[in-house]
Amino acid sequence: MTELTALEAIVLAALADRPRYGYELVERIAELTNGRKRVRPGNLYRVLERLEARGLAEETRSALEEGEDERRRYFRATAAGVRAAESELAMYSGVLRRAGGLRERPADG
Amino acid sequence: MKSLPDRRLIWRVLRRWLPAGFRERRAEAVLETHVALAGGPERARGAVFWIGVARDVLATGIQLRLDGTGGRVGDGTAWREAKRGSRSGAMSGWEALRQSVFMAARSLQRTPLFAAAVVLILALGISSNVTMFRVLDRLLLSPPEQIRSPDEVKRIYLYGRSPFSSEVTHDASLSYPDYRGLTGVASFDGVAGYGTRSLTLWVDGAGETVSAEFATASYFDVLGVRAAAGRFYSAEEDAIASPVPTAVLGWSFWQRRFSGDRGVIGRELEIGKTTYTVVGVAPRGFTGVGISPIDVWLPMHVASAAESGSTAWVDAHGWFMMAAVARVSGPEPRAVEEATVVTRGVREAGRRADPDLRVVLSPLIRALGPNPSRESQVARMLAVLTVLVLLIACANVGNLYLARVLARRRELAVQTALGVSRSQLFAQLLAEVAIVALAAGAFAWWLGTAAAGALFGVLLPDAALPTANGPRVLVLTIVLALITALLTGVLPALRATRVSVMDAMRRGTATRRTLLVRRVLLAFQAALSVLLMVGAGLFIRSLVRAESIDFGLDASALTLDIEIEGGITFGEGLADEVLRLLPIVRQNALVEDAAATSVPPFSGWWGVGVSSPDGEQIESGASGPFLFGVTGDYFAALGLPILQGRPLTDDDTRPGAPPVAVVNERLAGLLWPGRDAIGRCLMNEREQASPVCTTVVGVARDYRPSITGDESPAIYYVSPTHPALGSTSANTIIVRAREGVAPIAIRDFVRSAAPHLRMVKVAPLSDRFADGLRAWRMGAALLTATGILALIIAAAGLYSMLAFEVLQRRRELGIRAALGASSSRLVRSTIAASSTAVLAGVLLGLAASLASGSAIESLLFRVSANDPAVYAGVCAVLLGVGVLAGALPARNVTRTDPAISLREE
Repeated sequence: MTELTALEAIVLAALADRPRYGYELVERIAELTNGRKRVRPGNLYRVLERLEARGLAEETRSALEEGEDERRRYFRATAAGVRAAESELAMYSGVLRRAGGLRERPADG
Repeated sequence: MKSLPDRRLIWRVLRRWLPAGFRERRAEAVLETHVALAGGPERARGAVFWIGVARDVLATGIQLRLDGTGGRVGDGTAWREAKRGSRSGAMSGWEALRQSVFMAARSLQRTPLFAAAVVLILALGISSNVTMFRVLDRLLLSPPEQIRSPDEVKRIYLYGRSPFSSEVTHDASLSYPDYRGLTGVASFDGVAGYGTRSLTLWVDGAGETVSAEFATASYFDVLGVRAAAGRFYSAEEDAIASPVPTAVLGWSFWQRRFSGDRGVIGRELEIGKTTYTVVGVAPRGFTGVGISPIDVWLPMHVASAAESGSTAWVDAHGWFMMAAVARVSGPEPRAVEEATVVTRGVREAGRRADPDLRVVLSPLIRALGPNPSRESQVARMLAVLTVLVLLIACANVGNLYLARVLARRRELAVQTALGVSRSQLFAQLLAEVAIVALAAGAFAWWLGTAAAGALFGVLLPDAALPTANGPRVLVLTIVLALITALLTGVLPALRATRVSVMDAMRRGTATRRTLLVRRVLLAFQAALSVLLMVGAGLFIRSLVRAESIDFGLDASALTLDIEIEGGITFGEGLADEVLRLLPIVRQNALVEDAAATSVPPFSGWWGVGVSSPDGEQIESGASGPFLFGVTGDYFAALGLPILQGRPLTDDDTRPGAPPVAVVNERLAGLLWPGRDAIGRCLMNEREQASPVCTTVVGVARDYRPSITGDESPAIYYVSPTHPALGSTSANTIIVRAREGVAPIAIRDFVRSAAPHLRMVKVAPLSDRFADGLRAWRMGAALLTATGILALIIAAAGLYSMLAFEVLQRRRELGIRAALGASSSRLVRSTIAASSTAVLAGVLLGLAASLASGSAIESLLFRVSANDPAVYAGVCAVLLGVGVLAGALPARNVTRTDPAISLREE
């Protein structure tokens, strides 16, 4: 079972639908987290390298569409990466669900 | 914000922080993403952008290394890996350094409070030195800006009998014939005359005071300066008969007053008594041979003729109107010889022969010449003292580091046990110190830049801020930061590397030798603080003494000066205007008393010899007799008591009134020693042809002529209509305002009552000697500031020392408390050693102050350098601060709970 940090899971989630490069990823992560997470570029590439080393993400050039810059480094999540991210994020939502929400409810329910 | 260096340079430096592999693979992508996030290459600039990138790169670099060490730092893993690397030859010197810096950064990151305290203390120490350097640089080290080979330009002094007193002095004042003689000296490459004064500039009916320098056309040539716009005036344009008066503007004045508009060239400006055409602008930073900003340069001959209304000065040997500089590229002794011969000849021709007169050539920097200002002497002394502040800061930080090393013995021992070599440990600790010192340097740079303006305002209010010493100051800041790092870091780092594993693991009390070093440092700080505070105390007392001098008259009386059509501020028909204005001023409800005078007190003297048919004859000399023209109410307005007889009244001013005079005690005593002066006859030397008897009607009290001068000169007062006064009979109105009336209210009233006056100035009489107080005011302000700074730093040192000791001995104290020791006993035993150290330091400081007192004695005013009150005060302050700094740690001792302190182990 692959353990992921929250940031790693979010990065993988951001790579799940299509390959993205650095700037797009920062923006996509901000979008997915409702603007809560602005990842620093250096940290992003550090996380990407870690994911790459574990076979969860990979660099790709095959996804080039028209108008995209050849020099850009695109990353995408591997199948294992998508699975790991899904299970990690599902765990979080499971926690929230099973805890029945984390805030105290009014006394009379 | 200044433009930052080339982005590629910044980036090349930053990216090196990233570990090699990652750097090669990803660094460019990281930068590109930053650029894209900033909104494209055009926007990816400026400090904010680069600070963001730097933060990211620094944090990422640390995180990547943490990834490499499995997330545990401080346990020696990184070092072990690094060591392994170096054995296999893979770790370069650069890698080792980076490793040291990284470990040091981590270690500081874990104790941010400590790091912040050290940075702050060092920054204060460094910035006070950097700021002081800027002032000294201006005063003593750098010649005025924009001058070509300034070493060749010499100020000309005459060493001989002063024209103003009988003393033998260095004097820079020259008459025009003196100057004309010097222009003939063949060994000079060029000679230029100059003189500075305030004139009124008239633009669109509004006047403002500008600082004008009258300079011969050769001035710019001799100084080798080039015009920033237009040109300088030529020798023809500086001829007395020049049809078109020309002017050159100073750069900052041009910027300030004309917004740097080149269209100002060719424009006519009414300055003083005539109209000049602007022909050029001097370069930026050029302030002539002095350090005060000059607003406008006017051709010496043209402007002198216009302002004096005559050309009499051309041959007047007693009219000392200028100073001069010469450029000497050849052998100096020969030039001095020639100039001396020429000047002696000129003085002889002017019936002022002085066979011992010598010309002295001195450096362009005035503070290095024979007549340095008191300010520059005070600045020198302050420079020494700011170095003391830095030493205190270093001692303190060294102390903090030692404490830290003691506290970290365990961690250091673990590292040693894990195979980190002593040299690596030393490097790491030194790197820690260096990081802190450089951060302090950067902070100090900023602080110093911000404080320089303020310090110049206090020290040299008239000096222009230098524009060109940036690089020197930067270099100095970096050098100081590095020296500080060495001073503070080496000792603790050496101590740290001697930590033995067994010792540290046992965690006993601190080693005795380290504690001893710390106590010595503490004593050293206390001694230096005493030295600084004694200096501050002496200057404060000097200032208080100087400010509370009783001049014998009311220095809060106001002087009211006016300027009339034609730029006239003195003599030449001004009297009519002043005497017309006087009754209007007197009738105003804001005014209690008002009187007109030829010259207000403290503003100059007009010497006229006197005699009496039944008394002595007195020649005019340095201490009088001086003549003042005054109207009625003069003595009332100044609060100057009449001791005998009556004051002058307005009736004495009426045409046809018999000539009468009031003399002061000194003159009465000189003319008629031991006899009554009232009713006697006084004659002045100006009327020798047809002597008129002026009857003495009163004797006024003496007053003090200046801050430093004790003895009153001989003075006599006559009415403005007295024939001896001529055209300079009434120039200024003395006003005693009613309680609580501001000078500006009087000015506004005069302006509205006499709108035809071009300018009205109202100021307290005390302004006329404010300059004399400046050196003490400056010394008191700056010494107090540095003294307080030193005291705060030293108090913080004492506090940290005591707090640390309490912490170290918690276990012991806990046991003793459990065994029933009283808390007062515990407190005593805890702070006894440190208190002894402080006491020893204070005694040492007092001894040092007594020993060095003679060095500043000449800068003090009526205060002995061994003033007991000052010493007592300093001791009291230090005692109080010591008690405060010790109180908190002592309270912690009494709160020690045996159960808790024992459980902690």
